Amino acid sequence: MSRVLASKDFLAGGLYMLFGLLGLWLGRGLESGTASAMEAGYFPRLVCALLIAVGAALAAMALMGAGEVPERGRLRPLVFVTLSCLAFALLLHPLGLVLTLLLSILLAALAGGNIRLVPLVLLALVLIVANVGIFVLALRIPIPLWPAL
Amino acid sequence: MPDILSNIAMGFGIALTWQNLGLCLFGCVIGTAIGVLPGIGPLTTMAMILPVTFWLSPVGALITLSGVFYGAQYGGSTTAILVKIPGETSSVITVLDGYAMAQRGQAGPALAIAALGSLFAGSVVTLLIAIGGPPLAKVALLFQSADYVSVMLLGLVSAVVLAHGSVLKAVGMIVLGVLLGLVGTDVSTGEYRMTMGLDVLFDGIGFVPLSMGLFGLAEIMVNLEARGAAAAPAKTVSGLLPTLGDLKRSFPAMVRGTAIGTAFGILPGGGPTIAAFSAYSLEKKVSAAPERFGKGAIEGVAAPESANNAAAQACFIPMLSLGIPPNALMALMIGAMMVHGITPGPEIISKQPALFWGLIASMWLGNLMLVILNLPLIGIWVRLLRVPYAYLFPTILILCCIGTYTLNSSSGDVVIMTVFGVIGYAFRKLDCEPAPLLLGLVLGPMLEENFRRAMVLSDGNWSVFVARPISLGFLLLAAALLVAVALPNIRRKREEAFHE
Repeated sequence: MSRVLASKDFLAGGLYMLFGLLGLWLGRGLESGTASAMEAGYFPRLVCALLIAVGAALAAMALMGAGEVPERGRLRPLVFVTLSCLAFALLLHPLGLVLTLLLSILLAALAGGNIRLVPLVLLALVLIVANVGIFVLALRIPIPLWPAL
Repeated sequence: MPDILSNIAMGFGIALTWQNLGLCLFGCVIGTAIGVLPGIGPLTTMAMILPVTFWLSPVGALITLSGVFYGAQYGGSTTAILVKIPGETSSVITVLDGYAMAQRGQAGPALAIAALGSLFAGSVVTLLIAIGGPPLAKVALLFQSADYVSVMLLGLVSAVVLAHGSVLKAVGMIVLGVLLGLVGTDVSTGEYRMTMGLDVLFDGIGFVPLSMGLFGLAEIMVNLEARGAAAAPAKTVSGLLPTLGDLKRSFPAMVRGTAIGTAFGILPGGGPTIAAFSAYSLEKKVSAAPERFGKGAIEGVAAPESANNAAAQACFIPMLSLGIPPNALMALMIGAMMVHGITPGPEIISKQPALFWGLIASMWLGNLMLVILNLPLIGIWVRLLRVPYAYLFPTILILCCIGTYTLNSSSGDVVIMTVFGVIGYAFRKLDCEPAPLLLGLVLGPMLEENFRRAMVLSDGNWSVFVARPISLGFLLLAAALLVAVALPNIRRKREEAFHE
């Protein structure tokens, strides 16, 4: 049984149902209206119901047979890629582009790939110069370069 | 006819300005490069350079983006032939005979035939868009809301039928995409929907953060997990010219490949990959000596390479004439147009003739540039393969972050991208293909708007969708497709096509 519950199809079905329920819950305050005069909630509810139905069908069919179980993943790439992007999002305003890029690249390198320190620093330098050059100097996008003092 | 000629002349006038020529070249070079590199696809790349194109004219932006798209089809085949690594999924099938030819020392002719086949397909389809686009747009002007709803449903259904793997999973991904497309301000009532009170979601979930997360980031995570030996030693290329016999055998294959590619490109949910697979199996079927396939048959290179390029360009037909994207890549092009304040739809050709004809002319020029870029410069592209992934992925990651940020100068968008990176990773682990989701995201709001309008006009009567002949026709076609995929016989064939 646990093998069925951990199968790809069952998990995917569960995930669809979860998204459908989440949609219904987040949109709980919206009016539905009628088919001839729809309010903001009518179509989203229709779509959520459909998504839940599809998810339920997928999960029910998975229960009938022994499905394939997803391969075990490694946490390292998932965690460090996520951290690297979050660092970019959260640090850009306090730290400015140059330091943020440096930190994000270092975090990204921890995700895998076995890059040595010297090439890593060189890569970071090249990327920082290129990005500052393209986005800040050439395209004039207002991004702070250095920490605001 | 003289009308078309003067329009084409105008198009070339626009495409041949120094600026647009440069942008076309830029797009093609970038496209070839990412086509050569496995692990980064045209969708991610187009999303990454999207912010840069905001500083261009609308036609310049579209020229650049489409250059990336069809450039990737060329680049992908180079590595498939030389090192047995398909740079793009659309070149997977080229590996079979292309690499076999390379092993026999015929890498040069294989590359030349691939490039010529692509050029042939590109030229034919470009002409087809020029001739077929405007009348199609006139037909589309007759469409009412109910018809739009049905044609979009047809599109979504065929995206399901043509997606890899489980049909139910693909349906789920599309419906989820539609749902995500509804997040944000409701256009009719101005109410915020499902935003959790977060400011970043008031304008909806952006196409760029979502696609960069689902494709760019998730791909990096998956690639880092499964990183084996990266670069393989490349074959040396000597003697590019195919013999007369090669050409004679390839030409009919190119014609058939172009026809199949065009059909699959126009079909919603189709695209270069499925077109290449189908063209290859057809070629094997009509061949007098099918046993040569897989051992270096030149038709096995010519047909899929023509088909994937034809499909890559034929997708532009529904996008430009109906304003309805047939796949995720065209959805991104629509996104780019909307950013430039152009509403996609059948009026584009008549109201923005410069945009339409300029883009078409540039596609033809781009195809020509690609042959020049690919054949003599082949050595440079092969060298690109030696760039280790350890250098590549931080670069892609940083470009995803900064590209998403610059769209709206919003760190919130970068967070959304990260969230969808994690979701995309989970989907990959569960074998749920993310491309249909993107199509749903773009079609969702259009679908709702037309659905609401149709229901208001019919006073809540659902029969409006079967009462109008155009709408009924699309619905019947969609139903036929669904029935077809449910039939065991066709189902088996579909699976074979994906597994071959």
